[in-house]
Amino acid sequence: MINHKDFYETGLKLHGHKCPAMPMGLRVGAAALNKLGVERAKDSQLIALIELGEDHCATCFADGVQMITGCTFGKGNIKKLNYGKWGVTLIDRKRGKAVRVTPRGEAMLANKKTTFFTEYREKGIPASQVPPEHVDPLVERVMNAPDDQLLIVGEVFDYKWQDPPHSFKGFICDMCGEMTAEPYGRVWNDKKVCIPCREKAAKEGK
Amino acid sequence: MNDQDKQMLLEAFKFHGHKCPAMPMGLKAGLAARKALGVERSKDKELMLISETGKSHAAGCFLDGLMMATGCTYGKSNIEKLYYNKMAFTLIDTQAGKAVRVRIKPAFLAKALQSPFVQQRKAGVPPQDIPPEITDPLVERILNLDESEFLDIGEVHNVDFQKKRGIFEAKPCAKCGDLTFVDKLRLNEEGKLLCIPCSGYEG
Repeated sequence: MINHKDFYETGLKLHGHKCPAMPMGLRVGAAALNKLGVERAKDSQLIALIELGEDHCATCFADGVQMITGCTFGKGNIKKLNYGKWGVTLIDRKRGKAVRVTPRGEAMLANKKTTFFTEYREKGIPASQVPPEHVDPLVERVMNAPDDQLLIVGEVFDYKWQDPPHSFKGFICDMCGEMTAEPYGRVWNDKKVCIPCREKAAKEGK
Repeated sequence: MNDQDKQMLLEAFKFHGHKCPAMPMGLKAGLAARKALGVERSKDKELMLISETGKSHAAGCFLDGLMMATGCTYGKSNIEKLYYNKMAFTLIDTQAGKAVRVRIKPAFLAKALQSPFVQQRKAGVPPQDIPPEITDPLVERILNLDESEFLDIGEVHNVDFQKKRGIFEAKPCAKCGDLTFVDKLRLNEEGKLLCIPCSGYEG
């Protein structure tokens, strides 16, 4: 069993400021891991599908999910679906199983009515500048509320994941001299080039 | 590396999930970019990172190091991948309107792709199963390198950065009840608000 509390400090370090959304990501991710009965992904054993998009106040949520599940933007095993919702589907690639976990709507609504949002964030004040007395109680609640008050954990279901091919081959772009992965190579006259150099050359008609 | 950076390295390994040479490379590259711009780690969205990496080998690990060093994170959405599959990135100070591009020196990278670690990866060994006697000296070497030995740090230049305002209003979907940010709610014929999956729309 994974405990979300073991990942709070490092999650905070990664994320950069105190807010209730990053811890909510820890809670959702931990519940998904425990329901699937899997460990945090050391490499890319798991995939997390995040229903949030790019421009919402609560995208901080995804940093909590990255921290606890080991599905990271770097490794590329986390994906935003841009639905504007907080559901997370965690997939165990090897077993072909998945689970969807979402925070309860009423728990999220209660968060949104707090002064952290109404007095600060909605007025454009960055999270790092909100006084601790308006943040700490929210973080406390998200970190300590029992699972069933905070989350809806779905049933485990079958999910077959197709791996895209992995590439190790690279070449040096004839124009900028930078290393580029082979499938992304483009041809310009008799030169092997990268995508931006190809576009630039085409625009300038060289 | 000073003590603070060493502590960050430990946390970065915890975040990343396995030991490899590319993550510390990203961490050091991110610290070097911050130093060039003279900025602190991004607490909110003061910094923006545009990475030219994609899905090629080592790029992912490199980017996790960059996230930890710069505070530009996938959650906060102040990081973007261009999928050029190059080991290079631009760090932007959105408040000062300054940016710097950093790349791994091509010759250094070409050599690194021949390392025994990459040979193991090519043979299909997961990074966490590669013996420490292969991984550890490579990681040590990266940590001891001077940044000028493996990074090209460009000139600090001016950029015009336009900020977008976040969306704070959320309403429940009339069908599934999930609370959804309003920009992604759609209307059905009866005028009810539905989330994307319930609406049948693609986006």
